[in-house]
Amino acid sequence: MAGTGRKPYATVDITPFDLPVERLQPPAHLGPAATRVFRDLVARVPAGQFKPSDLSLVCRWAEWTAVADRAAAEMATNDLVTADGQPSPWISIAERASKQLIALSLRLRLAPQSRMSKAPKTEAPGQQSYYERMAAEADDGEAGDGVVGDRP
Amino acid sequence: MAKPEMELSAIDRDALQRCYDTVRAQGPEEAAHLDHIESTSGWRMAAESASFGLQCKALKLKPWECPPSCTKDDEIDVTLWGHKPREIALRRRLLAANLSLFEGDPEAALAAKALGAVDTPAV
Repeated sequence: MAGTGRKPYATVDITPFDLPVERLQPPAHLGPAATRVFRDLVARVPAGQFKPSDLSLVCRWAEWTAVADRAAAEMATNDLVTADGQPSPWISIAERASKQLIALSLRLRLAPQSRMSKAPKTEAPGQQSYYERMAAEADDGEAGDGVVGDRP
Repeated sequence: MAKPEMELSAIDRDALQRCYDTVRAQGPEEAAHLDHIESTSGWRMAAESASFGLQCKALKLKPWECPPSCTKDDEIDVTLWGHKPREIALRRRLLAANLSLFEGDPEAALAAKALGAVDTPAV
């Protein structure tokens, strides 16, 4: 008898010779932080994991990740209790962002649960070379000190 | 083809020596491979081979992408291996930072230079 649960599938990254791999591109309306999260996510999963129709969900993931990062930074640098004795508003913001990310991670198959044997699995992503990262960051119009990967 | 030995600068020789030592330390097979190259073509070819391998691995280069150690001049030509704009851009970054084109991990060396490190990191 066949096993229960969804049938696992494997994706295979094939890099065309000397041709750029088609991956989702962040839309122009995303903010800088969300754009970095977007590019980082898309670069770390197999090229075939996201289709153009997933753009909206991936954007939401990037935006909520940026919010969660901001909230974490605020909580790390400020008091968790305000001057009037109330919990910092950043706590509820972080909580809401975490809930959204948990929900989205399942839909986008980003969580460890999605890699378990009964769930669809993915193979290791194709790694971007230094020159490919240069191209991606040039598209962002970023100016650094000449080192790919430098981030604020 | 390798340039004559006398054309190696001090920073090139230092970088090549570090690459050579790093690859030798990776295991007996790597050491034997370097010994073979050295016995047939000399130390410099062995060291350049070590640098080539380390750079390809560190930069995660695709088979058609050229590491900085193999870029021979500043001329940009999108039809030639080693002359693509990004390959030349990395070459120029290394030279502008007064780093050797043979650095085993060019990205780490540039990052260390940007941070003001006195020495380049061990490859």
